[in-house]
Amino acid sequence: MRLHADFLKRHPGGPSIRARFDLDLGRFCVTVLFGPSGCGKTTVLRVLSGLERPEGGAIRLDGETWFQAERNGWLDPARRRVGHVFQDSALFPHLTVAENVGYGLRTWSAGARAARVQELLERVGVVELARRRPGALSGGQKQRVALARALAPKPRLLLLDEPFAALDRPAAEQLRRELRTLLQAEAMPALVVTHHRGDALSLGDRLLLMDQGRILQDGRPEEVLTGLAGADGPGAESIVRARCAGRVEGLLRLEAGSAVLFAADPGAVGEQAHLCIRSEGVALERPGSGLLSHRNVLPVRVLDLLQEGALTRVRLDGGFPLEALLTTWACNDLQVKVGDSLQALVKATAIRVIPIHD
Amino acid sequence: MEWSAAVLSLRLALCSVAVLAPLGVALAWPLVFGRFRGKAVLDTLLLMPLVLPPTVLGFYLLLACGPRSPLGRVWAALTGGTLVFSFSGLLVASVLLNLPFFLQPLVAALGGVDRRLLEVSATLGESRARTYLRVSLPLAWRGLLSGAILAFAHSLGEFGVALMVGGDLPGRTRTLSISLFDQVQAYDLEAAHRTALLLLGFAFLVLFATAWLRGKDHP
Repeated sequence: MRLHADFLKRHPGGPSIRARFDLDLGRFCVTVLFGPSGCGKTTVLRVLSGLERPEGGAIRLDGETWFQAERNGWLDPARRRVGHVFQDSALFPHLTVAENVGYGLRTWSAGARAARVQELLERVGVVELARRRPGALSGGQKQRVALARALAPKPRLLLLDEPFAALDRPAAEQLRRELRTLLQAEAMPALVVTHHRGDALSLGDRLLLMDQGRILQDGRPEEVLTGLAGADGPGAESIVRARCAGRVEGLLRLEAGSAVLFAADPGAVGEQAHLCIRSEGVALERPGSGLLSHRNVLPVRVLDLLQEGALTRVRLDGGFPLEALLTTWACNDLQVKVGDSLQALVKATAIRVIPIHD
Repeated sequence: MEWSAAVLSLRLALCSVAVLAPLGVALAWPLVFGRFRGKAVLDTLLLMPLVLPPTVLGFYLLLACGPRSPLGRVWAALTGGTLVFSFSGLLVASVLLNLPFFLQPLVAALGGVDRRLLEVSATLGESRARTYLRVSLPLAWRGLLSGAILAFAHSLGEFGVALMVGGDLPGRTRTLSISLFDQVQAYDLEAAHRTALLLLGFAFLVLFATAWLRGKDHP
């Protein structure tokens, strides 16, 4: 099953959206739709589930037409079999948790419905809340119920719109850790909208980078996000997938490519993790000069220099692609040239470790 | 006091609400969710009885339901009786007159239901009609109840339309309000006092019940 979407959606007060992508619905795969707030991510989801009608283009699932501008083709949202989880749960306030989860199973037999509801309540860990009303639940519990409700009728695709945005950080981390396992258990292809790098890296198999209503890049999350300027500093991040090889002096020992790095342990790190290294945290030195506080000293080769006023961006090969952001002054003092062999010093505290849960 | 008038008024009010409930629920849907030509005209027409003097409505109903009118003839062929000067005619008038009282709170409550809940229902495979029954109406129950109470109270005190369409036939179309009017005309002030007090008591009870329901929801 392949979902082919290529549509134009004008949006009052926002950029017009021209999205073109394919999703393979035949196998389990979590695709992340990543981009800044207001770039049109939510609208893409709403168009896919049929809550908004585009102005042009077409959306097709194999031979089935969901939308076609020319021949006025339209498949009602109720018949698309696409689950949609909203940012703030949107549970039916007049129904209990169990009734919410069973809402989409009206045509099932009573026995099958009860069994399916029970199965999902167990899976999302809210069995004991079955008889409660949504008003009596915490944000995290509500979102779990919303997730179970969307999964219950076994949709062909699950759409999640910033599923952790309304939660406080511990609750969000907790749910994020469980979400991938849950989707995998249900073998459910999913499209997740987020503007949070951690979410994108720990959940996604594939990432669509969106800005100003366009999809700019499509690839593995760590590839697309590497070199993308962050929101909270002048530098970008180098992102690499690493294997966790034990702990030393309270730090994680991580193997990324041919390099070994040490980083602070954020907790709950399994065997695999993504490392996000801020370019400001990477210093360079000529080999052979004294002791340093840095725990990570990597032999690197200079690939490229990009001067941006007082700052210079240095692209490096250190066993994996790495970027350093230096002052141009320091760069000139060190006489850094393309092809130089230097040592990169990375503070262990400058590496953010994001667990991967498989 | 005429007990027959009290019984008749109560019967009229109950029957009005019984007819209004399904009719109003069906009419509210296009008013809240419909997008069609002439919706503004329909909106206005359904609100007309709020501002129209009841005698004007009664006059047109008298013409429309008279024995020589098409509606009157169909009615006569079906039931053998006349629509005017009968309880059925009174009921038709009462329903039309009270439609806006029933619809207004219901439409407001339906419009206040979170749109996303309706969207969720659609993505879970439910048609719009089923979503209306399973989500919109249960969440708008307070509006439904307010409308029913208002329409009940209003039809209980029916005077103008009832007099025009129903005449003043004791036991058949003489409502409490008409009875009160007759008692005052006949200088039977003692009976008038009792009738007026009864209507006053009803009005107080209805408003009190509405306030109590509202208070129960917003503690």
